[in-house]
Amino acid sequence: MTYKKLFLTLPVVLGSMALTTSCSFEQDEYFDESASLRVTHQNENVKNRLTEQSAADKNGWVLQYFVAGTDDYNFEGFNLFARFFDSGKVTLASDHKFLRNGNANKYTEHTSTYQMLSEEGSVLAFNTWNDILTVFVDPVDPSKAPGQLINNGEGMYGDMNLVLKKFTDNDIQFYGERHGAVSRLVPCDRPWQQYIADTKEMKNRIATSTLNNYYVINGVDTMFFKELNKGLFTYCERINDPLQKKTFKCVFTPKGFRMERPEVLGESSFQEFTIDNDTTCLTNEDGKVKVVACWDTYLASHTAIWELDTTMFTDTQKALYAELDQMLYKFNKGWSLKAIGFGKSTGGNSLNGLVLNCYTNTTKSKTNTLGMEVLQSRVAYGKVAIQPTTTVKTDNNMNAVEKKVPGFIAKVQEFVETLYGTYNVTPNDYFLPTGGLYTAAEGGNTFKLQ
Amino acid sequence: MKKILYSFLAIGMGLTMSSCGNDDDFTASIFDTTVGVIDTTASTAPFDKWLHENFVVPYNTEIQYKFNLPASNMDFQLTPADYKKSQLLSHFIKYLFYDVYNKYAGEDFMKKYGPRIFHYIGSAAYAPTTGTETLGYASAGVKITLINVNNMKYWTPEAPYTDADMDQLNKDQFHVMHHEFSHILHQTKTYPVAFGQITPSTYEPRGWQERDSTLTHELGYLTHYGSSAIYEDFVETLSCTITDTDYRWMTTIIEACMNGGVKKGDKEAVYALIDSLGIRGLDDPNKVWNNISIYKEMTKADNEKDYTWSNRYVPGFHLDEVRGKSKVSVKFEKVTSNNLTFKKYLDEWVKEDTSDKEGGINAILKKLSIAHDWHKEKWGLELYQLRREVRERQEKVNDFVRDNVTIYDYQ
Repeated sequence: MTYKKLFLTLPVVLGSMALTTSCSFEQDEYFDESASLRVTHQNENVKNRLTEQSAADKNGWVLQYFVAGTDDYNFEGFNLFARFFDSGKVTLASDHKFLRNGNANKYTEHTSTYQMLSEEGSVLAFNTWNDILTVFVDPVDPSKAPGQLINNGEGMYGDMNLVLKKFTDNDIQFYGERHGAVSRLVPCDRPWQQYIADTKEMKNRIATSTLNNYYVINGVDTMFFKELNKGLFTYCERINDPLQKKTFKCVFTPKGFRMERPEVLGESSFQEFTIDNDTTCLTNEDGKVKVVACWDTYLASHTAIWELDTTMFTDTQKALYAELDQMLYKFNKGWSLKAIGFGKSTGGNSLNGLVLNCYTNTTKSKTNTLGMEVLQSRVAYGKVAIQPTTTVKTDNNMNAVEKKVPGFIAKVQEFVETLYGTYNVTPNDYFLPTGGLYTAAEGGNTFKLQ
Repeated sequence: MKKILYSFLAIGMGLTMSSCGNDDDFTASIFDTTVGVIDTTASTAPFDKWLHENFVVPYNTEIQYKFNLPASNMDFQLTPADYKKSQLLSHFIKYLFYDVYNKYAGEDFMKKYGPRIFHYIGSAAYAPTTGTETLGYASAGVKITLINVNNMKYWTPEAPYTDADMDQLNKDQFHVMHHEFSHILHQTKTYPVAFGQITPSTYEPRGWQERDSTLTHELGYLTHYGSSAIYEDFVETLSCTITDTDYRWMTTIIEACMNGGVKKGDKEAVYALIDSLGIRGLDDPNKVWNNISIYKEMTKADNEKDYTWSNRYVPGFHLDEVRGKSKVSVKFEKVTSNNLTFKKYLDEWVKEDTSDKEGGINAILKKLSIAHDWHKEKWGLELYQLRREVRERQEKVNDFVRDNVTIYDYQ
């Protein structure tokens, strides 16, 4: 390039650079206010809403609080309660197990201070010690950390500076400034201790150690929640030896539970579940995903003895029942048949299947059981099959009766045969059944366990 | 051509600069200018007012008792301080720190050199990789961060402070306070180079916490942390002189004399130091320092068959610590048949060291001398006088709290 060309080109280049690089203030206005004013005004709005819901005639807030970064079973979501005052005072309450000074698991209130900070966004800062919340933030001496706690000096990875993520009147969400701990404020709809009691009742109702596996269904796909009762549970494609699994924390509510983070099933996303009016299942926010306890599997494997409702017996069953009662009398004049049921017999070589519950004295103050193995299996959701076994297996008590009263086992088998078939089952409780109506679908006779 | 090129560049720059003008009008301040210095509607207003009157107005010092995460040290997991303990600590800072310097250095001293900010942290600050615990830190000569405030015992009329409580407060709070303030002082007027030349070869920035007390004192340091770096050693020398208890001083002296390093004239200097420190009960038979037991340290590595003497003695009061920190098997053989009194120990058991060995009490005495003279020459302060004043005030601390301190609840 010659110098002449350079002289001609250079002004054009420089002029273009000036026009293109120096006009930053002519960009479109995306907001009506500066960033600082927006944060300031947002803080005012948040504080106004926090204090408004904390008025004496209202019940303040539920702070659904998750510590970050640990899969330890100690760290399910926690329900904390909060009342914010215009003076910067905040009263928190809870009954969680990490409360100190002998207050673990006891309802406790503690007052401290809070502040809405303007940082890169709005930050709700709990800035003086509070027994309820800051205990989750307190570091643990590495040499004294109990085994189940994090022993790297970080404590439980809780946060007390909460960065605003979402703000609506009834749903204020945050993530922790240091660890990203998830938390959410929702208006409390009842007195705090009532909320705690109702939540405990709900948790006990839907998640027990007896039945703690669940189907997650959307009408197309099925996955499972496992061990929901621990509050930190597994999401997997099958119950036993899952190939893939995720762990989630949840916080229980009076109506169900909410997960720390949203998850998907097929095309459906879900995070919070509330129990249906008919109490058959829990349903997510848009009604597309349901959580159903694996009650049908439980029905086929429970060990408690549930008795058959004799009023629904067929004539054949009634006749067999009477014959069995007479045979027991032959075995021992003090014995009589109290009921027939399903479950696990209690004598030697006990078996899961049909159980004859017998009185063993004339005053009917004592009982004993006689057991015969019967196969029960889940065929499909809500459908259970009762099938014969390849060989008849009976427990020691039934063998003893057979020895003295030959033909007894055959008679029991006759009774069992009246039940072989496939049933549509309606449990008496969808989360922890203690019986149910077995409506015959293929073969068998409709019966009721109670 | 050069002139033309410069002209083009000037035009271009002119275009660039002139087009950056901001025609926006300033809006109202984003800060709330409607409230006074103290927000009287705040739940903490009474205490805030007290802080304003006692720290902000006289010293331009802010006490940040409300946790400030961005201003804290993100290397540590930290929590806010308890409100009531923050109030108590603030009164102690005034009573045992500001008022002491005011008395001996004049009222302008703390106005001029006092920290601009105190930041309180409720929890301890652990560094799991080293297993150490940070007790406080000073930043840029203007800010002192006090840690573990929540571990402070809370005073009530029913449970006033005992001597043991004061020892704990000394260790956790006052020692740290003077340590960090000494950093501010030496960041303003540097300490003599000679200080760092007394034990130059044994500073250990990383492994200091692995040393036991016997070794630390034998090497000529008052504290473990002091052996990490020269400037830490310097401020530890100052803060130990002002705040350490008689027990800590006497056990330090005993240990620093036990394994050599006692030069000619040092024994006399030790007695003079004890006098300057105002140690009480030097001849009291019930004091730990008049019941000294001395043991030979016997060690055995994994690949060795027998225990052999490690060539050092260990006092009975630190056997557990030495055993706990030892990396090899260790046992002790008592070498003194009867418990020694301090005077008998120093006068008879301790032998003058004629070797070139660096460290021990000789090094400590030299460091004390330099620190003392620096304090006097640079700041006009008498170190031992400050110690006596602090101690007298500590002895009256229960009366002080009862008569002068109001602790507020949230309003």
